[in-house]
Amino acid sequence: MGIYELSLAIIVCINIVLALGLNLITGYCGQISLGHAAFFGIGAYTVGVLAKAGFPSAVCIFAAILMAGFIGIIVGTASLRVRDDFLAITTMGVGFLFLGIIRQQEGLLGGEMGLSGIPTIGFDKPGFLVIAFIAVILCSALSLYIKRSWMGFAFDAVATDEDTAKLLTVDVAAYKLTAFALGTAMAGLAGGLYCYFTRFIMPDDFGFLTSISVLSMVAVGGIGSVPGVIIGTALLTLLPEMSTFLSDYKLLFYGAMLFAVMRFAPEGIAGIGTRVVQIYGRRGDAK
Amino acid sequence: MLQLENMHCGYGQMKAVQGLDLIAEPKKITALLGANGAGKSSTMMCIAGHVELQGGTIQYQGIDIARQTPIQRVTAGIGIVPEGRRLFADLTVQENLIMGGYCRSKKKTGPNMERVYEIFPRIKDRRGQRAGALSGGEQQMVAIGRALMSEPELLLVDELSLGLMPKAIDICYQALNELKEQGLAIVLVEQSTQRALEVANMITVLESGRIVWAGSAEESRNSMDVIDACLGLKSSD
Repeated sequence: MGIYELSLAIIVCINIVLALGLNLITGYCGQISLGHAAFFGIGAYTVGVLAKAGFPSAVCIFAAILMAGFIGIIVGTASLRVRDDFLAITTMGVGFLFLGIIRQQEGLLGGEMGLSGIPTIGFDKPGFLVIAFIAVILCSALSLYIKRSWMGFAFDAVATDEDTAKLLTVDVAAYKLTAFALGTAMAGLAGGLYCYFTRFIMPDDFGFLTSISVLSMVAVGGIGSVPGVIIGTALLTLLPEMSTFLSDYKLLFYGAMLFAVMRFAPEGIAGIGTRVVQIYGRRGDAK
Repeated sequence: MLQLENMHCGYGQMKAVQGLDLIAEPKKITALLGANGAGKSSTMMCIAGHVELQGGTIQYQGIDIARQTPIQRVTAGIGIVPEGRRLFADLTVQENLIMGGYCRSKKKTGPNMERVYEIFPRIKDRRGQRAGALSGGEQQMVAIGRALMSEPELLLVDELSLGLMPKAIDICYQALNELKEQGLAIVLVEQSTQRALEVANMITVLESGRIVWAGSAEESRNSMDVIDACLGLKSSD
């Protein structure tokens, strides 16, 4: 693997962690978030500031996870008051609010110019890839574990019909906040890794377009499906890299994919996969 | 077991029910009848704690539950079968039942589910299917079963027969009778008056949020004219 391929693989891993976080909030618990990039940014800036202050990398990453998760809970309280489209607008607003704050903080956070000169995490590229890969494994495992656990059931119930879930004594508020806390903590982890990877961050990396990109990755892969989200993320991250045309029109491409998925395969790649397995299974039975 | 006295409930300025007295006792079915908008469902949701109580008292097992949260009420033994069934369409039958037992310990899920399947053998065959793919009657069975998973002593059933085929209605009413015999107190809201009168022990008729007739099943037989008139059945003849 050359340096370029290594870098690509690391970016894919980081995006997967980010997308799995959104999948927890939107896919499992049904709470639309259009401000996921803000938590990615909170993770990145936490690492950026702490690393420059000389803290060891493990502490920085851990702080990024906690910080993003903590603010995630605060933002999550919005989901207790507003739903659906209104929650989408609110979380979108949180994204812009985050950018606004970052842009104004020239002393601590570097303002428009961003943060540069972030120290290295202490590993070379292959080593970094291993760490990013471990993060992917951990987040996937956690997601799959939640899906099968009692919490997964409760998330399903909240996503399908909040009012009925309440009727059955499910503590809807607690589960929503848990989903936000876990999902945004994953975004924080992704942000932390991203910061150590690029060692230079600026506000635009964490804007609305990033939020939409992550949402596209989750939707194209298959909302709620871990393998689907992983495949979708890898696809949407790598395709623009392979063709200059797609790279130039990246957002158009994401938008087209998002539209195509919603129109033709609402369950995304994961749904298509399930259908193919069913069709082949039936043919097998016929023989 | 359940006693409402001069109960007022509603949604802010909108008064849905004014001055309702209602009693539910073990091994008895209390029917709450009335036309659309009479305040039947509001009463049910108020007992369950989802609609604001604006006056009067709600006593359950001798305790005033007006200030208890919906969760506390379910835990205390008030189960509800909501209007329109409200199943989780994407979850399987079995998963819907499991959700119903949310407030009880996991160890009890197995035995409670067996009990539900005993009452409704039909949904046992369909336990792996999506609840949304079931017929209306089967969905109603799952909805009742889901309420039973919380081990209720008082069962609130809202619109049991709405949109169901006659055979499914028979099965559901048979189940209600069975549950009544097992000792449950049941409050039944129905639009299908005839069906409700057949099973009910006590009957209350509501119109625009006020009681217009109340009495036992025997009394109701002697005053069918009054009840029909209250429900507006006469005028449509």
